[in-house]
Amino acid sequence: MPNRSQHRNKAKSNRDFLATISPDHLPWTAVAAFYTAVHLVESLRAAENDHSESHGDRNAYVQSNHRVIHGAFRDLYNASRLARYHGNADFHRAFPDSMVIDTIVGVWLVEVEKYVDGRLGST
Amino acid sequence: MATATKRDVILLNYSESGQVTVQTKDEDRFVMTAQKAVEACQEHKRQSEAIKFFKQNFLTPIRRWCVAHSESIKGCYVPPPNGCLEVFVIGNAEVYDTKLSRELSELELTLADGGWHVSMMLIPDCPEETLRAYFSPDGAIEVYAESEPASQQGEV
Repeated sequence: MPNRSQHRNKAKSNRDFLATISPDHLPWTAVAAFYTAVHLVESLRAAENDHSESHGDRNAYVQSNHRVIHGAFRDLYNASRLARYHGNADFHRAFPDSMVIDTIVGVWLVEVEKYVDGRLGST
Repeated sequence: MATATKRDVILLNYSESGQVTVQTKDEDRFVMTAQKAVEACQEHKRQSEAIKFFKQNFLTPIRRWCVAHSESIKGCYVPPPNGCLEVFVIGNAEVYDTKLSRELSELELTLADGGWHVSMMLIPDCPEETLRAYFSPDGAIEVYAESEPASQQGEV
């Protein structure tokens, strides 16, 4: 299983990719934001020599160990699922373009990033 | 039992004092049957208690939360678990309600404190066919639905 450093690298790679996504494909921004957060959370878990078996297992880990970011992480998961399973029109009604950038990335993902940086350092 | 004979069945003797005795030759077979009957009763009791626990400690807090947030939600469903236990809350706004979602997160944490590690998803108002992308209504528990008949608005 990947170690803490590998998860951080993967998170950075996803974050870099996120910045390249065209405004025409904003649902993918939500997906990339969530998977950036997934690797950040997994870096926390890897620091404890553990890893998640599934989304449900990871959510339970956050519920039990990192309650401060539970709301943001859950919102990222929800937005990612809505991006994948809602039709484009329904997704854009749920998340107007500005909300994708300002809230999904600017608030929820940044909240998780700051928390993990505070725990593990920013590298 | 139509084809059973007196040799097949286990014969018991009932005394006036209420004692039940088994004919010696049938004791082993009686113990086997009795054990299975007791296990079936115990399993039934365990299941009944588990379902009661599920209603009281899982469904009821969710139902109360839904009623308290009834101005913001249309429905709440618990489909049969497929791996992990999930709850789907349908909002009545087309836009993702960030405030409502954070309150749902608080409920999720409260349930987790009680040992219910559940994933709760807020789905903004959308066509019914879109909901089927998230869960099948077949066998799903309807914890809350707006415009319920008055007789159904009580506790779970």
